[in-house]
Amino acid sequence: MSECKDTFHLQSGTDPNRVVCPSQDGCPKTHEEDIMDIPLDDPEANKAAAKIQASFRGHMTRKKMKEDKPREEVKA
Amino acid sequence: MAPKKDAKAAPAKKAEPAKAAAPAPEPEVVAAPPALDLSTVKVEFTPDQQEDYKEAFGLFDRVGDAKVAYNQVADIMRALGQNPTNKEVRKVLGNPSDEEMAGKRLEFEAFLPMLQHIVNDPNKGTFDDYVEGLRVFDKEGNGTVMGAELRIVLGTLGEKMTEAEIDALMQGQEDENGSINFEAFVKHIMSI
Repeated sequence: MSECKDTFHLQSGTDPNRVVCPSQDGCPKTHEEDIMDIPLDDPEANKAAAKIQASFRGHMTRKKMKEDKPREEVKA
Repeated sequence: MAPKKDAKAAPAKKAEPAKAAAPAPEPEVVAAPPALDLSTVKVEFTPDQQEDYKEAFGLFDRVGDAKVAYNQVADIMRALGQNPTNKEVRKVLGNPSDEEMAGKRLEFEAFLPMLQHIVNDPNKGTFDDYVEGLRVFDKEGNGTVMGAELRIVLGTLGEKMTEAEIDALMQGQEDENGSINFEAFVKHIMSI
């Protein structure tokens, strides 16, 4: 059985059978051998994720501002 | 108009100059952190900086009352180079309810100490923080993460991003194998 390369599995703390595959719509491959736990309930992991997401959101807002207005770069 | 600090708390509970935000009795937020006392924050921006910030602030004022909505504050801070989490923004706003986020408006003088607080945050993310955060998902230890994996993380952990946000972020970042070199990615993110 070949593995689905772009599978990323979530196991929530409460339901170990819950898996999510990005190519859900008809991914025929078995995913057992490619399981990776995403620590949905881990506060540290969530905190790290939130920090990264914050940087992304910051970036996207600034990018959008740049596109909307030619030159408005201000650094706090 | 001179940037007096008097009118600080227009949106907040009371307009007392001394205490800006003490919304203690509002158990609206799930993981309610203690309310922040902004009156202790000393605004250290130079007049030039404040001019710039005021201008950016003005861009967000769609009503013309020299104020912005609470739910715009995060974006203004981002526009000014900061990367606060949504939770941090809510905290400096005094943990408003969803209704207040949508309906309350904030004037510039009240915004400044909030911005200063965010700027002063010692826990601000650095290049290394972000790289190390992403390295967790580097299964092969080769400096790359699968775009598909990152998409799932971004959409399920932390302050979940929407698919549209993720698409916008990831545009042009994955190589032909669907991989992302995360150091390069973080550099790119931080360059703007």
